[in-house]
Amino acid sequence: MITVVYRGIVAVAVILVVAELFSQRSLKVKINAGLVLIPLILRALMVA
Amino acid sequence: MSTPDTLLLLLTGACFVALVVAARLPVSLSLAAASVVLALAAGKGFPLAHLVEGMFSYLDVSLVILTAMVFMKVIEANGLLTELTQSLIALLGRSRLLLLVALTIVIMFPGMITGSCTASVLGTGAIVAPVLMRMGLPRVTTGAVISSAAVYGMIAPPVNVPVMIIGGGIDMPYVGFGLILTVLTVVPAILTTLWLAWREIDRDKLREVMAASRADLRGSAFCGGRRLLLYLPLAAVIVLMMGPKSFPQWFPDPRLPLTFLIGSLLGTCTGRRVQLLSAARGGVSEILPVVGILVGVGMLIEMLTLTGLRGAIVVGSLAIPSVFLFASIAVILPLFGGISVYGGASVLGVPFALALLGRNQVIVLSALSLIGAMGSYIPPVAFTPVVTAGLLGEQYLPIVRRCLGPAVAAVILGTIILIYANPVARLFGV
Repeated sequence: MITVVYRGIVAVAVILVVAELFSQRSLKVKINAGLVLIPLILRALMVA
Repeated sequence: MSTPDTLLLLLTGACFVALVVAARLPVSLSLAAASVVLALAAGKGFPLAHLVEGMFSYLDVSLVILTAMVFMKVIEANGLLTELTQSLIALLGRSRLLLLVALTIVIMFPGMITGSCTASVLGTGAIVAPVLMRMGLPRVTTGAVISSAAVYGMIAPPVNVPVMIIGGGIDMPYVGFGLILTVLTVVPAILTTLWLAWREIDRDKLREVMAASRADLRGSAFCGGRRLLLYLPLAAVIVLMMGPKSFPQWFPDPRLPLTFLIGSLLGTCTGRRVQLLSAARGGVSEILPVVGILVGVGMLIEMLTLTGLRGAIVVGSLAIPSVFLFASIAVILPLFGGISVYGGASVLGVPFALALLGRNQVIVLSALSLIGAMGSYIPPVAFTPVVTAGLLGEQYLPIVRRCLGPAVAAVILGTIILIYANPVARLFGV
C-alpha cells in the first residue's frame, strides 16, 4: 500500500516538474528541470 | 595523494567554479558538467549508468523538499502564516525579548521543514519584514534579521540538506541530529536577532504594532472554531512527525513526503480558499534549483567514487595535521559557500568529515553544516542576503556587513565544537 502511495507522490512531483519545464522561458531552468525529471520518472516507473 | 589524483581534483574544482562564476550556469548544471568532465579526464568515457545512478542518491530528500514547499505555499495562501504571526505579536508584544525570540523561530520555520533559506525569506520573512519595520527597525537591520534567521532555519532540524549531503558521502544515516542541530541553530539564531534588533526597536511603535495586530485579529474572518481549524494542518504535520518517534510501537510512520501532502490537503479545507494546483506549482518553481543541486551533487559523488578520487581524498585528508585542518575548515568551507553552500558540503564537507573520523560524527557533521552555512553571506553569490535585499528593495552589501559579525562568531563556535566534538557528544548524549 505504502509503495503505491509513494509512487503516487513521485508521479505528482513528475507532473509538477513537467509543468515547470514547459512554463519556463529560461533554457537553464528548463535543463535543470529536465535533470530533476530523470530520477523522478525512473522511480515513478520503478525502473531504478 | 598522487599527482594525477590532485590534477583531476583541481580540474573538477576549476571546471565547477568557472561554470558557476564565469559562465553563470546554475549550480546544479555546473555540478553535472563537472562530473562529466571528471569522468572524461579520468578515462572513463561517458558513464551514463553511473551518472543516472548518482542522480538517485538524494531522491528521498528531494521528495521531502518538494512536498514541504507545497505545504508551505498552501499554509501561506490559506492565511495560516499571517494569522500565526499576528497572534504571536498580539500575545507576546509586551515583551521585546519574547517577541523577537518568537519572530526568529517563525522566520526559521519554512527553512526548517524545507531545508531552503529561500523558503524562509520569501515565506515567513515576507510576512515578518513589514512588522519589523513598523516596530522601528531600519530596512538594513530588518534584512539582516531575516537573512540570519533564514540561514539558521536552513540548517535547523528536521531537514538539514548539507548534513544529508555529507552523510550521503560518508554512508552515514541522517539519524540522531535533532537535539544537537536544534541547539546549534536556534540558540545562535535568537542571539543574532537580539544582537541586531534589540536596541533598535522603538517601544512606542511596538505598542502600536501590537494594538494593530489585536485589531486585525478581532476583525479577522477566522474566529472561535474556525481559527482553531485554521491551525489543523500545522498540528497534523507536527503530530505525524512526532508520533512515530514518541510511540514507535503503535504509531505508523508515514514519512515526511506523505506527512506534508496530508498537511497540504488539510490546508486546502481550512482557512481561505486555496488553489492547490497553483500553490503546488509556485512551490515547485521556487524549490527546483535546490532539488537540481541535490541531483548534481549525487552525480559528482558517484563520479568521485568511480574514478577512485573519493578514496584518495580520504587518504589525503587523514594526512593533514589537525591544526591546519581546523584552520582550513574555518576559512575554506565558508568561502566556498560564496558559490554554493550545498556544493561546499559536497566538495569539501565530505573530505573534511572523513578527516575527522576519530571524532563523534553526529557532532562533526552538525558543526560542519553550521560553518558551511555561513557561506550564504559570502559574495559573489551571497544567496540569502541577495534574496532578502530583493524582497526589501535594498542593496545586499549593507545587509551582508550587518550579518558579518554574528557569522564570524558562528564559524568560531562551529570550529570549537569540532575540536571538542567528543566531550560535546557526551554532554548531549549523542
